[in-house]
Amino acid sequence: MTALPQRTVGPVERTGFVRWVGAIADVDSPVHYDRVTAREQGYDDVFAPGMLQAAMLADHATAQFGAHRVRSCRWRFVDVVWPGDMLTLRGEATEQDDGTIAVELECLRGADSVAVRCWMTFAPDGA
Amino acid sequence: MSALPSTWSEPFTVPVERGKIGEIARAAGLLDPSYEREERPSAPPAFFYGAAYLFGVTWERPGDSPLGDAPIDPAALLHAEEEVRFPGAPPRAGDTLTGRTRLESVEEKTSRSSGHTLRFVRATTEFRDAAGAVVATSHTTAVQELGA
Repeated sequence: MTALPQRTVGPVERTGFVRWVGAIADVDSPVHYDRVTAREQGYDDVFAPGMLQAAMLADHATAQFGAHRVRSCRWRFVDVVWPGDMLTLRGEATEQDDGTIAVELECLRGADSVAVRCWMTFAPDGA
Repeated sequence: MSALPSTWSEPFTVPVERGKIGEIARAAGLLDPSYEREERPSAPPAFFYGAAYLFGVTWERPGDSPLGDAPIDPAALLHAEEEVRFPGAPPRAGDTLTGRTRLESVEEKTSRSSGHTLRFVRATTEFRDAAGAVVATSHTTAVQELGA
């Protein structure tokens, strides 16, 4: 098992949330950019679209192993991320007998609260 | 509700564009510069989540697709899990794919923390290349808390 380089991101900001939902046209959930809607739904403030942190984890791993080698990627959303949060991306890779690499990653908000977990597989190098 | 999995949505066209790949990668902090640097970058995994919003159908905007029959309130749902699988190398910039989506399953569980019923709805989207081969399959799972 090999640890991936650890990466710190942030503090994350509202403008970044807007940039993300704009890039993928995911604008139907105003809780990510409109505080009035967020408060109406019982939240203190807007919170990050979970897929933003999810994409960070996947891209952090493809930077190590190559985007063309990805064969699967699964994300589970565990906790919300708020404006101002610092994020830590970290993971571990295990090479299997056939050369396939299995990667487990997590995005922490603050010191130790897991926001997103991610599981990926990468095809053997040169496959 | 009719039997699951549902019928497929109408097919939709998914252009895998270099500019869109770069935009998505930059919006996520450009942690992998290859998405911006390469002439024909691979589509990042999150592209296939975004493709539903950009070109297809979603829980929030189902149109007349079977996702509109899902027993869940688009204003009250949370995304629980997302997944994408590739049988070979992921599609790259310059490819044009055809997507279609169906409602895969509806499941209820009891929350361990609140004791409330949680309803999970799952949809599948398959992406085919010009030759008709499936080159990516994505799954999206949303959850709604229904109360005690």
